[in-house]
Amino acid sequence: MTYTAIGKRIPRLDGPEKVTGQTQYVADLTLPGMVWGAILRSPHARARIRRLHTSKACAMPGVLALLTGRDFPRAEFSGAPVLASERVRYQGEPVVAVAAETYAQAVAALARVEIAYEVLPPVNHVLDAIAPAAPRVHDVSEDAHLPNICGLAHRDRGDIRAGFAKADHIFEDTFETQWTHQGFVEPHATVAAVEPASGRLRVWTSTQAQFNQRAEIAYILGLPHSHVRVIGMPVGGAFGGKNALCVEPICAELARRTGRPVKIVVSRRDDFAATRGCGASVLQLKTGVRKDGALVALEARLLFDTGAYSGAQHGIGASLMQGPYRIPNLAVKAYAVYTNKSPAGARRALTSPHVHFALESQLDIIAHALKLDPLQIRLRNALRKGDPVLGDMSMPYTVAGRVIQAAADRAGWCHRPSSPQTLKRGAAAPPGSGKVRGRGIAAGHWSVWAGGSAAWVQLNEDGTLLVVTGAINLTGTDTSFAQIAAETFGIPVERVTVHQGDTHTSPRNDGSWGSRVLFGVGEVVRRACEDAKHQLAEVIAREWGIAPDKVEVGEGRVRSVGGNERSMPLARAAARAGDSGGAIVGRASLSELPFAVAVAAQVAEVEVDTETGQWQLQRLVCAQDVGFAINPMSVEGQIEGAVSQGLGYALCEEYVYDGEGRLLNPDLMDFRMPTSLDHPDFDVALIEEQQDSGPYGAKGVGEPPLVPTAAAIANAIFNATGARLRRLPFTPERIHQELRRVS
Amino acid sequence: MKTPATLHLRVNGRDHQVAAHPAERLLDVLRHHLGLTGAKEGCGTGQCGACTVLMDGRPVASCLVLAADAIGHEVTTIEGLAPAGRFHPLQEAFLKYGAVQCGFCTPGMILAAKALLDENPKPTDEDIRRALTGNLCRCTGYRKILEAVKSVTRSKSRPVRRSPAKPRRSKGEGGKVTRR
Repeated sequence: MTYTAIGKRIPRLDGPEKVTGQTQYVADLTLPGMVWGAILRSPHARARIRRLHTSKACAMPGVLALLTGRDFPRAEFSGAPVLASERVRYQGEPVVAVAAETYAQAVAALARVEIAYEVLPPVNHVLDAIAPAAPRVHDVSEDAHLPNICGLAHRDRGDIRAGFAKADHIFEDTFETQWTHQGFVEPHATVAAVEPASGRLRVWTSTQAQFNQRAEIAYILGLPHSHVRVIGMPVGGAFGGKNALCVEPICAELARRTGRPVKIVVSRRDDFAATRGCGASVLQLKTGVRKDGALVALEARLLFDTGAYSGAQHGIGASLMQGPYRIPNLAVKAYAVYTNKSPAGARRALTSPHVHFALESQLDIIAHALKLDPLQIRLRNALRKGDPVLGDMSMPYTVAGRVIQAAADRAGWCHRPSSPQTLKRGAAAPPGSGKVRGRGIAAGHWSVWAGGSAAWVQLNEDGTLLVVTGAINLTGTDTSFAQIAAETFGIPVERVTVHQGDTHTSPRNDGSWGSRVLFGVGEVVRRACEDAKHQLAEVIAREWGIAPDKVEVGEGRVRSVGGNERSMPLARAAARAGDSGGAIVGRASLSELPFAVAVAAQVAEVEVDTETGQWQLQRLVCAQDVGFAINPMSVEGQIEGAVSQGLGYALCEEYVYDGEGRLLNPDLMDFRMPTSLDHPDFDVALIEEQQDSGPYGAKGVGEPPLVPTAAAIANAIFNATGARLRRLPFTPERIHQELRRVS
Repeated sequence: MKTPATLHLRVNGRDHQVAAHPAERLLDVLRHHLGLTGAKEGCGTGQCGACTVLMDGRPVASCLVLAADAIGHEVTTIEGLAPAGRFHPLQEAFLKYGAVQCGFCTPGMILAAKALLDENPKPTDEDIRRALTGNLCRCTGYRKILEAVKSVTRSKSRPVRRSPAKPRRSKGEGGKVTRR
C-alpha cells in the first residue's frame, strides 16, 4: 500500500510557534484585572489541626479572598479534600488559600495565618503501613486483615498449586521501586475567571484531560458542566502528572469569590512535594519454572504506595504482572497502600514499569540459575495469539517473540548464559581501570484502549479541511491527525487544519493518557473524514443524477466511477454542497475499539566502575511493535523520550524522605534527572504489522518504551559485575554495597 | 519592592525603559514588563535552563540575574533570534529534526545552542552535550536535539542574524548552571 500523507516524517505543526517562543502556556497568560493566588501547605506529614485563625491574614494589604477547608464541602473524586480541615495526611497538603493583588501580598498574607498542629508519627513505607500496629492514615481499611489498605485487585488464572507442583524450580524474590516525579519542566499552573454577566466559570489550565477536569471542578463547586469551561492550554510536559486535578478548584473558587481572574503557578518545590508523583512499590514474586525454562506458575503480592489518598494504579500492575509471556497459572494480589505521602498519581505507563522491573529481573535470575540464555528464556515463553493476557483477555496476535528477537538481532546479541564477565574495552578502559561492561535484555507490554473519542471534520468551501477534537495535543498527535485526514480525503497535509478545542468548542474526549490518543482519536478523525466524504458524495450524486456509491472523493477531486465519467475539483464540490443542503460536517464518536497490545524489547549495554559503583549507559537498542507509524519521526521521539525517562528511573531519580515523612530533595539539583551527558545513542527499530484497530493499523506508542528500560539496565549491570540490583534506582552506593556482598 | 526605578535595558537590539524595582529578576522584567514570555520559569533556581537568555552572547539563567545587572548589556531572547516571519538556522533545524515536543525547554535550549555555535562553530558531539547540560528536556531524550544542533554546524548557511556583541567573559555573572 502506498500512502501520500501517512508514514511520512512531517515536522510538528505546532513547531514554528514553539521554536520562536510564541506558544502561550498557562503561566504566560495575563488577563485584565488578574490577581494572584497562593496556598499554605502543611509542613507535617501527619498532624491534627488544633487551631486555625485567619483574621490577621485577611486583614493584610491586598488580600481579596481567603479559603479554608470549610469552603469546600465536597472532596475530589479521589476523596482528597480540596483544603484540609481537621487532619493533614501528607507534607504539602493544602490548608489555606488566598487571593491578593500581587503574589508578594498573597505570600505575606499566608505568613500571618495562625495555625497550630498536633504532630503525629507518620507512616512512610508500605511494609510499615501494613504492620498491625501501624498508625492509621485513614480510619478505615479496605482489607479485613491489613491496615491502611486503599484498594485490592486480584488476577487469578489456572490452578496456582498445580502449577507449582509441575515446576522443577521455584524462585522467590522481592523487588522495590522508588517514589519519583514525572519530571515535566512546566510546573502546574492555572488561571480561572468568572464571566461577569453569566457568572459562568472559565479555567485555563495545564492538563492532559480537560473534560475530566470540567466534571470534577463542576462536582466540587456544585455547578452544571455547562457552566464550567475548561480550556486546556499547551502543556509543557505532563507524562501522567497532569491527569488529575491540582490547584484548579482552589483557583476557580478564588475567582468566584473575588470576581477577578486569578492565577496560581505551583512552585517547583511544591510540584515535587505536593502534587501527584509516581508511587513506590514492594513487589514479591514467586515463580515456578520447568528446567527447560518454561514458566508454569507465578504468584505475586504487589504493594503499591498510594500516599495519603487513592491514586495508585494497583489494578493495572496486577493485570500486567505476567509481562509479555504466557503463564498458565497465575495468582496476583495487588494492594494500594496508604502512607503519609503526597497522593500517588499516574506516570507514563502507570505501574507497568514497576512490575516489569521485577519480572524481567527475576527472569534473568532464573536464566542465570538454570544456565539458560536470557534471550532464549524470553523467546520460549513469549505470548502468542490466543494466549490469555490482562486477566482473561485473549492476545490478539503473535508479535512478542518477533519484537524480542528484533532487539537482540539489532544489538548483536550472542547466545551465552548470563554470567558476569568483563568485556575488553580497548584503550578507553585498559585492564586495571576497574571498569567492566555488560549487556542485558528485557521486554515489556502495555495495553492500549481507545476510550471516549470524538471528532468533527468540516469541509471548507475552498476544499480545505478543518479537523476539531478535544484531545489535548501532548505528543504531536495533532500533526498525525492532519496526516490521517489528508490521507483519508486524498488532499495534501497543508490543506488540513487541526484545531484543539476546549470543553465548549469541541466534542468530548477522554484524557491524553495511556497512549490512547492516536489510537482512539486518530480513528475517529479517519471515520469523521469518511463521513464527510460520504455526505459530499451524496450531494454531488444527486446533482449528477447517479447513485452515491458511484461517486468517489480523492486526489483533490470528486468523480464518478463506472462509465459516463464526470469530475469536479474538491473546492467546487464543497461550495456546491454548501449551497444545497449546508456545510459538510463529518463526525464520529466511539467509546472503545478492539484493544491493542504493544510490546517493546530493549538491550542495554552499560559500563560500570567497580571501584565507585558509578555506571554509564553506553548503548540502548529498542524494538517496538508500533502497529503502523503514522509519523515515524514523532514515533521515534516518543520512544527516545520514554527510554530517557526509563534511564532516569534506573539511574538517579528518587524522592528521599526523612523519618518524619518530609521530602528532602524537592528541587531539580537534588532530584536528579538525566541530562544531555547521560544519554547514549539510542537505536530504535520500529516493527509495523498493521494488525491493530487504530487508524491504518496504528496503535499507541508513548508508554511501552519506558516499561523494560530499568530491567534491561539491571540485567546489564548484573552481566557486567555479578551484582543483582533489586531496588531502584541503581545508585553507586547500592551497586557498591551489592558488589561487596557478592565478592 | 516598593520603589520602582527606571531601568534602561537593551533587549533584542532595542532600548527599553522599564519601571521596575532594581531587585526584580531579569526573567520577570522580560516576561511581565516587556511581554517577552518566550523565556520560561521551570524552577526559579537556575536548575532547569528554561529561562535561558543571552547576555552579550553568553547564556544566563535569567531567573538568577537581577534586572539591574542587565543594564549595559545586550540581552537576546528567543523573540529576538530572527526577524519576524523568519527562522534562525537552529530554529529550522529543531523543526526539521523533531527536536521539539512540548516546547517548554525549546527557547532556552536554542539560545544555549546559539551561544555555543557563536563561540565554537565546529563543536564536537561532546562539546554540544556539555553546552546543553544546564538545559533539561524531559520529552526528547536529547538525541534529536543533538542532531539538530549538529546539522547547523555542518550546514553552510549562516545565521540570519549574528550575535549582537562578542562574548565578554567578565560581565553578567548570572549563574549558568552546568552539571557535572
